Amino acid sequence: MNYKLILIIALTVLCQACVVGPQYTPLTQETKASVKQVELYNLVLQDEVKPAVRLSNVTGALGGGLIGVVIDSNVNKGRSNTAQDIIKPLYDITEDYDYRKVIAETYNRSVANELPIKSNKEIAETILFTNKELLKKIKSLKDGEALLYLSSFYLFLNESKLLTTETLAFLYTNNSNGKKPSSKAIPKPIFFNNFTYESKPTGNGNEDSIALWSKNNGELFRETLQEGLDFISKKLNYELQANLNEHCFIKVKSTFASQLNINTRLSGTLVEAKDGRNTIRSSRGFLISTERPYTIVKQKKSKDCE
Amino acid sequence: MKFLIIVASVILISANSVSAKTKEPKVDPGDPAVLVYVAPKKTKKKPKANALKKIKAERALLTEVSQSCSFSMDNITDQRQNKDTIGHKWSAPLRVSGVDAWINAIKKEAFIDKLVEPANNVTNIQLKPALTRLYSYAQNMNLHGISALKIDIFVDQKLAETRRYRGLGSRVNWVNGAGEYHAVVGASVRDNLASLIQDLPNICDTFK
Repeated sequence: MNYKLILIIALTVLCQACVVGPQYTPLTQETKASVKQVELYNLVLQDEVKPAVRLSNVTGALGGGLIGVVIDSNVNKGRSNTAQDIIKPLYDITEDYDYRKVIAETYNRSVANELPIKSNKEIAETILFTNKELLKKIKSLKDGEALLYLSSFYLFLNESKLLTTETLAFLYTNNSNGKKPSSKAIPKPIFFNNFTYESKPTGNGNEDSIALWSKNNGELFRETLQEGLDFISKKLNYELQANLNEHCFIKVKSTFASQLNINTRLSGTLVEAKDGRNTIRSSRGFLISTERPYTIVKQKKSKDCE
Repeated sequence: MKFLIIVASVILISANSVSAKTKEPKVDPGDPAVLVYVAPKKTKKKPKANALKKIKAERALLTEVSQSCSFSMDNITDQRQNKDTIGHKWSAPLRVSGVDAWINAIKKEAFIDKLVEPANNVTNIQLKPALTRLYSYAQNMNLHGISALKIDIFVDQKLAETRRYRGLGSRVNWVNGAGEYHAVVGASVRDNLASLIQDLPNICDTFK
């Protein structure tokens, strides 16, 4: 066995223990007031929707180890192949669909309502900034200028029953908390949040679901993606208003689908419940929209909320 | 936590030092890498039984098709929505150039060179292919390459039908090198053209 592979596997297993994602950073009125002009960098890395693949995780079940990794690699290769075959009718019918154009149109309009946009493009970007490039970009910002960096993903989950859209939003200035950025590290954004929109379940899974998403030239697929983007752009605006007052919102528990678990536990505050759709702010501050039911967590109300 | 990070760093450093001989040259992520097609090496060894069976079956299929139809294929045109990248490897974009020459070299080896001289008085079918997708991505320990071709089928110089084919190339992600990503997209194009070859009898039956 290749020595290098063993080292990479060891590193992968070790890193599973120390991965910490970015933390929610709300925008304050003060920092918002300091922003006079915003450059928008709207990134979409995918060229088309990712198919639903239930990833094998024998490695996790065995608590690590080379045998598990080899099994996972082979099983996942086969599953990816099958997933590609299942989703082909949808890919064929949506060949003309340009998600990058749709997202640019939606987000450009929406962000301009809250922040003074200096420049935007009619189509989303394809180039991921390296850390060095991002740092260079942030350092080139003048006083009063900010960079709104949006990165979006869309994928099928749970045997293609669910279509999920996710956007990460970072707002950077050259003067974070009164400090100029160091020469090496990317400064903390003045605003960060993660927005997820989970569609309602469609079909019985796999070929059945793909047939429904594909019907009428992919009508449901196109509409659902637009709904997801509309939701996220509204919630992004809500956050960018920098006027949040969720102190009295009720605490709830629910679930949503992620790549590793279709019933990922979700606990947080109920931000909105409208037309059978619930928007929950998770305990990490992220905004997640789902049609799944929630249960109310009993808690003592503070006096000002009664 | 700190201990884990230190251990991981030590392993990473040692991995870099042992791989010095095989290390890829440093490439500025801003510079697109030129895709160059390298044909599989021809060896004197006899192919394995399964591979031989596959080659014979493909040859028989093309010989049979040549009795009723003559196929010609134009160069593959590049109609991708994203012509900047073929994905990204971790935090660096995979920018490539030279896709036209690269894909047509694969087409020649995987399709044109395999066609059999047609018999007389057969239906002439012209294929006009366009590349609509070409990308790669990492998933767990694997790399996947995807390609999509849209093929306009012309019979007697009239557009008769458009068919779409997709190819998937997968391999284990050994060192996360750009060359590995290039290899999976290349494999996906070969897989794509193999699907087209398998479909030739059906195309021939439809239009002869």
